[in-house]
Amino acid sequence: MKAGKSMKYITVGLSAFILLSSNVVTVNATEIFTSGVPKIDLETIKFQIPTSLEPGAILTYDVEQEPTITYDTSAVDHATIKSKPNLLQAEVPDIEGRAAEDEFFKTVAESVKNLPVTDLGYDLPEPSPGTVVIYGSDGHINRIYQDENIGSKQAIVAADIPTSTVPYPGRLPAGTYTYGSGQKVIISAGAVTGEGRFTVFRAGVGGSGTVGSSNKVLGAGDVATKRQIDNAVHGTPITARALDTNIVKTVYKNDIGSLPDAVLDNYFWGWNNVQFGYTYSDILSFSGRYYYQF
Amino acid sequence: MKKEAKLLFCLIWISMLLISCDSQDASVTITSTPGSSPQVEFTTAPYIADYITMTYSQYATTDDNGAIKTQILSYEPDTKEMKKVFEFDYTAQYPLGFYDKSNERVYYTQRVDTEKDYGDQIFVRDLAEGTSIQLTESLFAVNYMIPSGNQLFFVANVKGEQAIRLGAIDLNTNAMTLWGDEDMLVEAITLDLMNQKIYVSAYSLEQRNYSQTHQDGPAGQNNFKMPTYTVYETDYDLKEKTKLFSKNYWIRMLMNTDGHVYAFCDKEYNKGQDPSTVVDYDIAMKTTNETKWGTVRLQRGEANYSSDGNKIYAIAIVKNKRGLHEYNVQSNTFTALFTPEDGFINNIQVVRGNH
Repeated sequence: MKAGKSMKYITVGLSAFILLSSNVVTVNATEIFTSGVPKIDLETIKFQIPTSLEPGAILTYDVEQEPTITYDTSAVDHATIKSKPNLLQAEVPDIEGRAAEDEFFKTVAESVKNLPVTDLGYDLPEPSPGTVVIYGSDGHINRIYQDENIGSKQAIVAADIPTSTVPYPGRLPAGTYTYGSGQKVIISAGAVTGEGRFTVFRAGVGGSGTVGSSNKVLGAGDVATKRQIDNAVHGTPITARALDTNIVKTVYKNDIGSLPDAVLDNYFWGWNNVQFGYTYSDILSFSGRYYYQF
Repeated sequence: MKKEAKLLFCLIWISMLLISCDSQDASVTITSTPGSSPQVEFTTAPYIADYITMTYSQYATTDDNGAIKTQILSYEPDTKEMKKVFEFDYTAQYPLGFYDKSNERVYYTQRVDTEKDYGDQIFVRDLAEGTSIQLTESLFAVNYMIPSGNQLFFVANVKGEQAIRLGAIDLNTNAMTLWGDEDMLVEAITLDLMNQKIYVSAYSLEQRNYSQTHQDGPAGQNNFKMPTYTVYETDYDLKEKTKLFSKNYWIRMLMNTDGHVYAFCDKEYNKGQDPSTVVDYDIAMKTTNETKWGTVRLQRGEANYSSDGNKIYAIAIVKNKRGLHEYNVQSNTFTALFTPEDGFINNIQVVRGNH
């Protein structure tokens, strides 16, 4: 299942990552990407997590907090898996419903137009040994986590967990909350709407959703919302739409996460299946919006 | 009346009083001085009126980016008194607290990290002593907490499961009992404190997963097939599992009043613009009667009847203000009780008093 590469090495601790168990390419500080992304200054990155990198980049801080960049190959690795045929119905874009939903989003926004707009910024932790950042297919951040094989858990800066010592706005007064590269969550008296990036997560990748690492049990159709803003009951049904494909689905909130640059994090739906019009990869991200009512 | 007869009459009267009173609630003190009739002092347990316990989140400072705290508030309709009972760090996935006025305790949830995992756990705090005890270790997210007698009933996702379970903690032994099975997703509960019954709205995880993976096409309609939600009755031992009725509606909230269980349902998720359907289950007759809820939507976050059955307390938006409202069943009118602008009411529970 490994794609052939001309240059490869296995980094120390790679076995801890299912994600990084395939062949990888390392980049040094002077390499310039041919894709047009500017030269990456690893010296700067050493002390500050960049808000964007090349699509599919995996930024890992080693024991010395030196950043290395590799690339996700999960989609290619799993492209040959055809263990069973896709038995699910083909997804049908919901174009007719789009207009009514646009109206609903507009109504919600209108109802809070006189209320505060709070910009939460990027709210990224400072990197430490073992910090890993996964960048999505659009180059923005999908996930930040700690590889405990490289750095101790105590080194985690609590971007994920609001504590009384870390000032964190929660889902509070109605209003508009913006963060990251243009994520927006609106809380009105009757609904919550979110618009921005949908990202994905899978058990065994980045310590998420694994029975054993967190004792969470999740499946396709489960989503995580941003904990600092969105705290509905466990199991809340959410209506979610991929904006480019117009596929609408009912999903269920069964997890929360830091979601530094996304509005909804969708659990793995299988290598064979398409959801929201997309084939899964560990770095998938796409434009979407969701809502639920009280 | 002769002195002896007077004394006998007093003693008989006292005996009758003792028999007619609940021994847990009443105590009698008799003082007697020579030459006079016995004096009777009769004391009862403190009268507790209906009150509404609320979980409420607000910025702890005036800074919009400041830390926030979750508060437990208590509102008493009789006196219109609102008080802040307790405040705790917002760390749980879902802000949840409960004020147990008769025992002067609060229950609340906090995220707890262990060596290998994390989850929201239930804590109890004795308000007089100012001490908190962690009651659970095995939960991941908690949706309900309602104490009754020596038990704390809860609805939660348990670590290692995908289900959402109704459970009970014995407050004397800390032992936990779970109801149902791992295929169950409990959506809502309501307690009948008088008869010690719990009414539960639940649906099948397997069915949900099937609906979730088969919700495509044809175009132009919501193709998500609502799972079957069933309302069950169970007892305080969580052994009973009596099916009352099932609907292919989202039975999102349950209320109860004398002899009736009310299920608040929506035919589709997230279509609050459509009026809810109310299923009135007559407990004695075992019949259901379905009607449309013709007035302002009662939001998720719980609602229930007052002791006298004349009012419903709920979270609703009335005149563009969201908050705790009192709905008069007879006159079909809403009265705003608490419509804060600075914070957000996360959920409420109506606690009926000992009348």
